[in-house]
Amino acid sequence: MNLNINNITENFIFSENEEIPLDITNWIGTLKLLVGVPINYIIPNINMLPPESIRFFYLDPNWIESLADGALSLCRVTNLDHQVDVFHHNMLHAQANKTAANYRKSLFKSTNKSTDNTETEDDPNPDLLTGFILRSLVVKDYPGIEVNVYAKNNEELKIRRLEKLSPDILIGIVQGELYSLKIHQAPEALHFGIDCITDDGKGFKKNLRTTDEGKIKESQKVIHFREGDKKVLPISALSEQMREDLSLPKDKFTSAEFALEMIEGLKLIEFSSDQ
Amino acid sequence: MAEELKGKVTFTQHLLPSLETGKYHISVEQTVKIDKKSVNDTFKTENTFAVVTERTKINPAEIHSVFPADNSVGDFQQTLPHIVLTRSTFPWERIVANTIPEEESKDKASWLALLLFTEEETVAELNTIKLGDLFPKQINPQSNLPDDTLSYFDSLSKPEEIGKHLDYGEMLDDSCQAIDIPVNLFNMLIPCINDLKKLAHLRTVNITKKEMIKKNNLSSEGIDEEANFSIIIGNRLPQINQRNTVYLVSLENFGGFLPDENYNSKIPQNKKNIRLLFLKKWSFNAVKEEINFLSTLKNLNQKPITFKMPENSMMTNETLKKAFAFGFCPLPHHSRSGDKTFSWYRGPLVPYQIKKFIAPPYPCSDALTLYNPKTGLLNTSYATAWQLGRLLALSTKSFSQTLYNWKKKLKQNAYHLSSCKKLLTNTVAQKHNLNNISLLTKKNYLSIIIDDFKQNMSAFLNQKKVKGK
Repeated sequence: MNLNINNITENFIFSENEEIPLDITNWIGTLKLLVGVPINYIIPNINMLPPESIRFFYLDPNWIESLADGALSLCRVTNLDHQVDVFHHNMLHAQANKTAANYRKSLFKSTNKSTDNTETEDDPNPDLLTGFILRSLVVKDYPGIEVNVYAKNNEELKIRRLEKLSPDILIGIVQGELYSLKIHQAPEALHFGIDCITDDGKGFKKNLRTTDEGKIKESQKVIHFREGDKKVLPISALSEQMREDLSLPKDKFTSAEFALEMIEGLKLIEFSSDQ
Repeated sequence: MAEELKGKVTFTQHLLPSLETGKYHISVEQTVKIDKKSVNDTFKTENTFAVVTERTKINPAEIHSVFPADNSVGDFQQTLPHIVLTRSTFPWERIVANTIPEEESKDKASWLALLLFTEEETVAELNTIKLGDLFPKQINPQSNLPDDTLSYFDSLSKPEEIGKHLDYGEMLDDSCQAIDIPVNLFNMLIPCINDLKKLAHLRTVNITKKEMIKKNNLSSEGIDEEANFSIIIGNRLPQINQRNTVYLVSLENFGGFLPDENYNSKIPQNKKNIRLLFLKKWSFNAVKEEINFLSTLKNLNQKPITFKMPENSMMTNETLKKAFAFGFCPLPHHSRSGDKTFSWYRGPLVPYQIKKFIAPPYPCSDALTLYNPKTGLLNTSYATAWQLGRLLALSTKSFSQTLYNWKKKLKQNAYHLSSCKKLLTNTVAQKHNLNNISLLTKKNYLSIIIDDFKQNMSAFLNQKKVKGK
C-alpha cells in the first residue's frame, strides 16, 4: 500500500481553508465602489442631478450587496452551488471590503511600505458609506480639483473613490458619515494674475509675497504695460522690480520665485449637508 | 470658512532633460596590453542613437490643463493664461538661441511661449501646412512661404543646409500647424529672451486628494503620489468682452529674431509677417461679470441637498411624495407577461441611511423584487442591481473565469469531504461519544475526522510492519 498520510491530511486542510483568488475579491471590491456601473443606474432620473448642482448621499448597502451577489451568482445552479456560496460569503465579502477600503490607495505607488501595513486594516463599518456627487462645469474646466471631506465633529474622513462619471460629473465615496466638504483648485493649476489695472489702463499693480513666509506685502507701485494698448506685461522689468522690492540678490530671482509672486490665492469653498 | 487647509507645493526654476535632442554617437575603445607576451590589441565598437522629442505637435495626453479653460466664459481680465503639462521637461527640451552664452545654461529660457490674440487681431491660422513651408523659397522651391514672411530658417541661404535643421526622422512633408502674425502685432506681444526665462517653471504637488486623472496610464504599480508639472505662463492679459485665443508657439532657434531687453525689434524691415509653429490653441471669453471657480460653485443648486427627486408643489399624490422623499423614482417596466406598467427604482445613492437587511446569496433576481400589496407596485431596485452585477460579471472575462474555476474546485472538494463524512461518521461518533454531529462546527468536525483517520492509518501501517517482520 502506497499511501502518504501527511499528504492526505494537508490536502484536506487546504480544501477547508481554500484561499479566495485575489482576482475575485479585488473585482468585487471595486464593484462595491460602483466602478463600472453605468451612469444611468446611478442617476436614474436627470432631475435628481440637474446641471450645476451638488448632492449628498448615503450608499445603500442593500443595493451594493445585491450588485455583488448578482456578480457572484455565476454558476450558482444546484443546491450544492448555493451552499458553497453561503459558506464563503462572509470571508469573501470581508476581503472584498478590504480591497474597497484601499482602492484609492492602491492607485498610487506606495512610497512608504511600513505605513502601508498599518492602514490595511479591516474596515470597522463597511456598511456606512456616504458621499457627494457634483455636476458642474467646474469639474470640466478645472481639472485636478481637490476635495477634503469631514464628519460632523470636523474629523477628516477617508475618501474611497473620487472619479469622474462623465466629463462634468464627479462622484466622491467617503468612508463614514459625510457632513461637509471643501473643494479647492488644483495647486498645480493655481493661476497667475495682477491685482488691479490702473484707471487709465496703461499700468497695473501687483502685491508682493515674501519668499520665506509667503506674507502679502502691499505694493503701490504702478508698473506700465509694454507699448501699445495690448496689455502685455514687461515680464523681465516686472520681475526685476519684484526682486528689488523683496531685496533679493540678482541670481535668486528665477522663474520659480516669479511664479510664486504671480499666483493668486487658492480658491476654496465649503459645502455641508446641513440644510 | 473653517480652518485653513495645509498642503505643499514646490516651485522649481526648471527641470532640464538629461540628454538634449539630437543624434548621438558613442564609441568605446579598450586596449589590452600584456607585457610578457607583447600583446597590444585595441577593441573598438561604435553606436549611434538619437534622442527624439516632438517639436511640431504635443501629445494631448501630456496637457494636464489650460487656464482659462477652452471655450469658457469668466472674469479673466486680470489673469494671465497658462498651460500645465504633465511632461515635466518639455519647456526646456529645446533651445531658443543658437549661441548660448555660458550663464544661459544655468537659467535656460523656455522654447515655448503662449501668445494671446483677440478676435479683432488678424492672425492667419494655417492648419495644413508642411514643415517645408517654413523654409524660404530660395532654398526649398516647394515652400509656400511668401517673400515678406519671416520664419525660423530665414538666415539660411543654401539648400544643403536644410538637412541640418531637420530633426532625426523629420521630413519636409511632415504636416504641422502655424500662424502668420503681422509684424506690428508681433513686436508688441513677443517676449524677449529674459522674459521667456521667467515664463516657465516646474511645480511639484501631492496628488492624493485628486480625482484620478491618468486613469488610462495606470500601471500595476500605480502612480506617484507626488507629481511634477511644467507650467508655461502667457505675458498678456485677456481683453474684456472679446474672444481671446491663446497659441502655444515654438520659438526654437528663433532667438536671433526676438527683441532685445527694451523690446526693440530685430525683424528685418522688408518682412511683413512672422510665421510661427503652434502646438496647441484654445479660446475663451473674458467678461465683466463674476464667473469663476468660486462663483460657479457658490451658485450650485443645493436644493434638495440629498440625492432624490426634487419635490414639486403641483404634486398632490401622497404616495408619490413619499416615494420621492425616500429617493425612489418611477420607471417604465415591461413585465414578463408583456404588460406595460411602472415600477419603483432607486439607485445605490439614497437620501438617508439605510441599514443592511438583505441576506445574500439569492438564487435569482426575482428573489429581490419587493412588492407592496397596498399600492400593487413593485420595487425593482435590488433586483435590477442583482441583474446588473451578473451582467457586469459576465462581461469581465478575467473575473468570470476565475470565479468559475474556483467554484468548481470548491464543489469538488465539498463533494470529496462529504463522502469522507459518510464513511467515517459512525466510527468517529462512537469514539468521541458524540450524539449529534450536526452541532459541531465544520472545522472541529474535520479535525476530529483527520485525527481519527491519522490514528487509524498509522495503526494500520504499524500492523503491516509487524506482520512484515
